[in-house]
Amino acid sequence: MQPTVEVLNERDYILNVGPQHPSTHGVLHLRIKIEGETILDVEPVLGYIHRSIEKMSEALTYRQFIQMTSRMDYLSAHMNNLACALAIENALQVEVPDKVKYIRTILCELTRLASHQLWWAANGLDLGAVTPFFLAFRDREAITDIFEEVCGSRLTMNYIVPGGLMEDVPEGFADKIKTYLDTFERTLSEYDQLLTGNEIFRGRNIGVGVLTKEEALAYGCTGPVARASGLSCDVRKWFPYEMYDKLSFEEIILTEGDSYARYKVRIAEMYQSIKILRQLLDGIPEGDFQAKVKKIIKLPAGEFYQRVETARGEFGVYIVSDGKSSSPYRIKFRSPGLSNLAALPFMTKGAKIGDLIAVMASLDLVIPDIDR
Amino acid sequence: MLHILPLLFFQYFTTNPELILVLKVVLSIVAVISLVAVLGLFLIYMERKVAAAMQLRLGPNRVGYIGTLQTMADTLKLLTKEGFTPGESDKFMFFLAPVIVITSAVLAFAPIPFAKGYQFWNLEIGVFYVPAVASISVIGVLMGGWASNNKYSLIGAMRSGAQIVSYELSVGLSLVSIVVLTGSMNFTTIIMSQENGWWIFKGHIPVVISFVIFLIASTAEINRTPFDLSEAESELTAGFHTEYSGIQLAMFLLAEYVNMFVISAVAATLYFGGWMPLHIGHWEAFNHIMNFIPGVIWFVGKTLFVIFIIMWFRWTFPRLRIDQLLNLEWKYLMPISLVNLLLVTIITLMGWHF
Amino acid sequence: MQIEELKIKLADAFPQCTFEEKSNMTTILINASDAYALIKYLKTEVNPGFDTLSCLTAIDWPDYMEVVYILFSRESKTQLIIKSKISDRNSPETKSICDLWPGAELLECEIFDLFGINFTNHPLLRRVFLGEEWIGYPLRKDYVDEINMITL
Repeated sequence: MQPTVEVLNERDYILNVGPQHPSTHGVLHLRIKIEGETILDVEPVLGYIHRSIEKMSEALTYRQFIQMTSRMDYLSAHMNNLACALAIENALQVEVPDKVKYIRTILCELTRLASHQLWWAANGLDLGAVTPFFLAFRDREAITDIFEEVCGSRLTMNYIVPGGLMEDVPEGFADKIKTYLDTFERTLSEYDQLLTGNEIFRGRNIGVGVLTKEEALAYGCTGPVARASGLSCDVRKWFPYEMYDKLSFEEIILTEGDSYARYKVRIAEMYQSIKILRQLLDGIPEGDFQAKVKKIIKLPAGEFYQRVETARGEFGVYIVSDGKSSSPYRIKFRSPGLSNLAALPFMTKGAKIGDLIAVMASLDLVIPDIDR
Repeated sequence: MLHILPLLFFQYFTTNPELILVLKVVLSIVAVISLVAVLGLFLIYMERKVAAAMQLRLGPNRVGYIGTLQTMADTLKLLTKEGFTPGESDKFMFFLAPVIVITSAVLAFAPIPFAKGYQFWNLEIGVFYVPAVASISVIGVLMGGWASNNKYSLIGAMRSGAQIVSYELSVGLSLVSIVVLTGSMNFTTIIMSQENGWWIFKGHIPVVISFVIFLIASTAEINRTPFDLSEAESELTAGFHTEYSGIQLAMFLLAEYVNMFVISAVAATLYFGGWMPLHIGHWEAFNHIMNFIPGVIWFVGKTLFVIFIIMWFRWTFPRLRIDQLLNLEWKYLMPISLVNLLLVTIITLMGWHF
Repeated sequence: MQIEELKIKLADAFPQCTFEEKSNMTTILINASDAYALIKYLKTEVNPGFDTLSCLTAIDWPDYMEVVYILFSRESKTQLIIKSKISDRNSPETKSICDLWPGAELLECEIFDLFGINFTNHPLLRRVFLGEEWIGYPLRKDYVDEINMITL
């Protein structure tokens, strides 16, 4: 596909980073204008994996379209499903059982852990350190095993449905996670030993891709990217859903706004996730895994917006219902990745090519989430 | 009459000096080429096993006994692959580049003593010769990057040019410190001077500093992580050899490993005494026992140790950025090695070394 | 600031806008010609201002189009949906809010790409996902693609 508008002058030295490039994590295509090693301008060219999930969802029922959302930000599949389920439940004014709330929160935090682990793996790899990749994947493997046992799927889950869960969790669910957390807490300190204090790693990240609080707000950045700039935006704190208002955890906020701050925010968030999981695992109540929801869901006429905090930031579902049909009239997914990407050209202007890679790694972009 | 013909031939061959020279040269070439091939296979296997050990994996373990034939199989695959040439490339330079790179790597073998008397060329200026020849490879890299007609390759080649040319200085200066200590550029003389102890032990801290600088700078010269900017996989896909495939790619990869061996061999020779066994001052009995271990084992052992260190930090460190790389050389390594050279000179003049 | 207070203020400043409470948030309906002024007013004049643009999208109704802005005030924790109505479905046009939130640039490109709504004053309006050669605007209700479209 040809980039449609020539933002950049034809005579400039233009480097196409992507769509097939080791560190764009998928099919992101960046046209960068360079002078020697210095980047003068960056233009993202999107759409290589655009499937128009929003259009597809208009033809599917409320129960069906949720599985599309697992295919957007595939690293936060449970959270995306949860956002849709919550939006529908709020519209129907269904109260789900406590057990469901517990399990959903547990799954969300596990997803966040797995996603941050993958980010850590890829971050090291992008900066040229290969070993972190294997350490993180060793840890992530155990989480995907838990997911597989729960819902039969390792990546695109479709486990959280309107009204509850698809199935009950298997025997020994909580114990398994507890054992995992014990081992992971030990291995998480290895992460620090290997990368966090490394002089080269710090040199590559400190002061690179600085985003101030005002700029983060203006570009609509959310998640760890915004929190590293000092912008409090954790949906779990601002608009608590499920169990989050009853849990004690901190929203990690740093003020430096550089790649290293984004790195530290995510590492600290992993510790917070462990803390959250520890609080939840002992008290899973008995009960049903589903509330009573009709087989064919019809929402009342109106519009419904629901946010959740995914591993990458604020994910929003905006459903417009006409009140008659059993599929949404219009559905919009507010993806955190697109807004974070919007800040990338601004952050990398004047930087080196190596910085672009470091900033991209610290933004933790998932391309199907941007393209939808 | 006919039955003495072979004898005559033999006599002719063994007495004619020109023919002996030709024979020597042919034998040397065969020896070097087979050595390079075996080294390439072995070092790649070693790298994969070392990397695997550091990354909690097993590494190659299917082809042959514990995977020993894996690199052989990979090489065969590379050799049988199509050598692809990009359409708009400069064909002549494109083909020449890997040849130059591998040639410079192989040439550097000449003055390295593998054991007592086992040396291709006992060159008086060996210490000077090795970096001189090894740095020819930068021309090959620049050529390959330019001829590929690929922007990534060009950026990689330019990075490589800047990098090799700057780090050459630190390599040279750290080598000079040993030359100052021994007063000779001949590898054999340098080794003989370490008969009562290796320079890394005898030369006080300045020699240790010079060894560390040599290790860092030479890693940069052979383009390995954390200094592999010219092929920076995650930034430039594969840098200067992005467009190469098949046997030409194999040549680039082989040259990297051969260079690594040469660098490590030089380090082992200059700082760890080459084939010289571990001798400690006047401990005659200890020295005598050490002499029983053949020199070639000492040499290979020390070289592999240095290679292991280089591999170790390849699999631990992230990559530097280009400005940090040049800062490191011009603002830190160069001044340090200059001051260090001064210290070594003072030590030599005052006779403070052991 | 409470919603009620805001409503009184807006009734003064923008008498043409109407309120609707069909969802979990307050919705303000307004014509596209006044939308930019309203949003600018909400961001800068109101205290505490609506400083966050949470979501920006559009809806295609049978005889008109709507651009939807979801705003959020971090200080007062108030959320608003602003629906700006564009009556002309054939050549829809509204003013871009890129100068208020630079992050809206890509979102408006997306709407232009999928709905064909033209944003004036936009620095670089382009078909960001589908490419310039794509015919039609897929998220419109009358868009037909017999090969690729999924129906029940």
